[in-house]
Amino acid sequence: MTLWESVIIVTVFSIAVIVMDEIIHARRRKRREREGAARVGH
Amino acid sequence: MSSGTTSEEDKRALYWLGERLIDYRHPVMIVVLIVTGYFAWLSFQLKLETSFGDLLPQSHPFVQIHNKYAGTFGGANNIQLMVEVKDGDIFTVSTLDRIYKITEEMDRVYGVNHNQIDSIGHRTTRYLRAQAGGFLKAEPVMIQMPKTADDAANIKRIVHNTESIYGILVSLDDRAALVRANFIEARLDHRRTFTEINERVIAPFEKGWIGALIRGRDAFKGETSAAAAVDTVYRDTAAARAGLKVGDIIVSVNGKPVADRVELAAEIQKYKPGTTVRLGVKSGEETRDAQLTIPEPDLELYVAGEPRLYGWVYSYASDVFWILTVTYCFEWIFRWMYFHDWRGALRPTLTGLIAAFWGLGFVHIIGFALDPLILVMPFLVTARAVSHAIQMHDRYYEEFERHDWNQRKAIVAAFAELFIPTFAGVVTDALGVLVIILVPIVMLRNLAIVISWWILAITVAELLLNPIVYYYLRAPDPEVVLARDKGWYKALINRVTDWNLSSLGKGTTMVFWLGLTAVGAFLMRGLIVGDPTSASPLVWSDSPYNVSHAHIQDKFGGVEPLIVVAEGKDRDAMKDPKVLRTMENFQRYLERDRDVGYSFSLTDILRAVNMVFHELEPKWGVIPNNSRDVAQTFFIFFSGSPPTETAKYVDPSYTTSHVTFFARNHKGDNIARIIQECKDFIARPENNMDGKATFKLAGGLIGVLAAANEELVRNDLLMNFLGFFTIYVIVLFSYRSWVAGLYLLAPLFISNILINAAMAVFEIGINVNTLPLVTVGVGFGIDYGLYILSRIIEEIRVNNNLDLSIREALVTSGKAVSFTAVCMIGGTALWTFSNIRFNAVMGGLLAVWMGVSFICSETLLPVMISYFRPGFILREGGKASRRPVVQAQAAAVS
Repeated sequence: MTLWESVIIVTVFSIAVIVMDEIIHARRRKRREREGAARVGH
Repeated sequence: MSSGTTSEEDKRALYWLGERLIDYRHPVMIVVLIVTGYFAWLSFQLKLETSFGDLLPQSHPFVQIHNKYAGTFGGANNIQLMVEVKDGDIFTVSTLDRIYKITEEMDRVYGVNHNQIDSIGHRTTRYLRAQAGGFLKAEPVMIQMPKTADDAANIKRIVHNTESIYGILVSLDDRAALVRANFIEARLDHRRTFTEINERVIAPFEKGWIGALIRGRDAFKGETSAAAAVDTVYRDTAAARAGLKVGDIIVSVNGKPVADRVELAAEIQKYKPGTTVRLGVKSGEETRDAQLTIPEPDLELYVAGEPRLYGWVYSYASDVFWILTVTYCFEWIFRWMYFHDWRGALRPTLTGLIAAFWGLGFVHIIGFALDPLILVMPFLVTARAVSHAIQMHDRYYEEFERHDWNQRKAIVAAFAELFIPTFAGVVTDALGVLVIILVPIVMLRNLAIVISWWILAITVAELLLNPIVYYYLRAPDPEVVLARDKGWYKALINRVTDWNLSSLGKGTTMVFWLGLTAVGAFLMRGLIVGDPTSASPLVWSDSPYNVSHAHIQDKFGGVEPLIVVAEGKDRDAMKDPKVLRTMENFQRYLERDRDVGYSFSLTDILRAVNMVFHELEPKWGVIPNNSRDVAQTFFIFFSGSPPTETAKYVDPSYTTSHVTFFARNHKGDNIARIIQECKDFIARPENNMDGKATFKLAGGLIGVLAAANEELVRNDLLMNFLGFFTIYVIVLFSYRSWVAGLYLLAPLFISNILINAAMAVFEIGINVNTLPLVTVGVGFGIDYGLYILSRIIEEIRVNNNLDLSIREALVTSGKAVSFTAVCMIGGTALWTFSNIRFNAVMGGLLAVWMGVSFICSETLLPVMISYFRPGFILREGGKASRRPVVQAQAAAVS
């Protein structure tokens, strides 16, 4: 493995983790909002 | 949990500084980014390089002698290449031709000293030949390649009758020949040497051999390239069976074009023996195909010596990239799981990256190159940077919750509260490494400066830039922060802490560490300075290098030179019989040592010539009785040789010569013993050579290693003392207490003993390569203790209860410390998979070291504080009880 291959892998990996984390948190926020709206509706 | 209010009073200046950093974030950020960008640009221009001279203590008298005479009598950078036949002996036309060609190719490798090649195929290896009229003449053993079986038999007879060749350059069983080449230190280029030897010296004559000599380019004719033209075809070989003829040019192998003999050999060795390949052969204007069955190699080549060893190390150096990549990815996952947020994974990366750019850029500025054997060091420093960042991030989350989700207040509080332990930890590490500067070895001095700077650069990212980065990043979701206080990890920390602080736990902890320390102290007596084994500890024992080294040592006894210079007062001192007899006595004396294979000096030539001069009668194999006869005998041998060839035995004025001993290995204790034996011999009054000459220690690999080992012994204890003393002084100022240092040094001291014991058990010696890593390890354990102790003090200022404060510190800062330690240990332990044994062993050792320091700081330190209840901590509690906030809290609780 060369230096640049290593740099590319870690960059792509980091971006993948960030995107995945944002998706997970966005879903949680939406779920919370839905649950909150449902409680208000009751 | 502390309220924060009392801390703000104590650390007013730090809170003010945190606020100002956020206020002036844009100019600070721009300046830091510009400087970091400049360092990053410099970092990418770094090269991996080893300067042999930088590894030596230049002020040591041995090294000065080595430097003075390495160019004439031979240095420490020798390559030994052994040609061993699988069947029969080497005295066949085909094998002798290849030995001749191998020697010729070795002479062309970049950096070789052309006058310091020993081989039966080299012009400087001579024998005495009686000529018509009773004249004697020293002639090269092989003035050209033998053509017939009679020529080969004649060479065999010469070898068997020449004492300075038989057993030294040709093995006693006639199955192996040695080619020894010395390299000029200033022209050493390990990668180039390694590649050239592989491509030009080994491949064409071993696995790339087809049974024909292929013509190479002739530098004397100004050729820059030459097609793979067949020069000689040997009978009953694959080439002969394929129908190759002298003058044919091989242009392709299985359709793949080959431009010259190097490319041809590289292509041929890709195929297994027995495979049939199609050669494109050009005869005159016509091109045809020839079917060649790849032959089983009939001889094997083994290469050893320091330049070769470093060549292998360089070839494995790219390991660092996959280790770095895997570590990075694992650490990201760990941090993401711990913090439940990508910011927790990213922030420590930024700290590590900025520190790395500052460190590597500085390496380039001071003109220091990275050695593949110190790559663990930058990795460790980066791990330290990441470790501090994890502590800071954890504290940020804690303060975020405490300050009712106010981001700015949380940032400033985290900065101010962790400033002292972070800064003290960084400065301690930096100064701890800086003590290496005391060792007078250039590489270690450069390393001490670079690593200290690199560690100090952590403050830029961690303290200066940290509040700003947090301010730019979106604050974490409260649920993410709260999630940290739930889950199995938190539960585990709570349970372990409760047990450790129980009466049984405290007693068990004390007894356990005391017992372990006693065992460690007993085992560490086996620690040695220098290499503990005969194989090179830099690469694995089954690596191609160590296999070759062992084979050569087995066949030829000893190949690692120790050069003792006999320095005369006046010209012709080396013609004095008394001087020569003392040199001879020296040889016989040291050859009794079990690790000295054989020796060589001017007297060997003298005795051999004298014997030949007297019709090979053994009784004449002695040193003549007077200077005139000695001079005459030398004249016979040296008269036909140019000064460049004779200089490796004696200087042209016969003032200075040498005795060279070839040792079987360079184990540290053996080197020390051999050098002591040399000193004993020289010190005897009967060996003073009537003041006409003196023996000077010592050149060659053994000589320079002895010098390095002596310097390390001299400085090892001093550096350990200074390392601990530096830590003590910094802790003294940080906590304004004489005893705080003793509490924090206890875990370090125990770790140090245990690691020295592990080094003794696993046969890891203290040498130029291990010393910096071991010294770095001394300081690295301190951070864990600093964070825990600072938190205890912080808590007791609020609750005025020591045991409660210890528990609170362990489940908050202790939790972050344990996570940091696990990450660091995991990352460092990955080095154990490196192909470079040294890096693997040091990675494993440092992982164990950090593990021991961590467990000791998490268990023994709090137990000691709980048992002995130190005044410098209780004093802080006393202050707290007088504060209005605490009084109010206490009233509310009651």
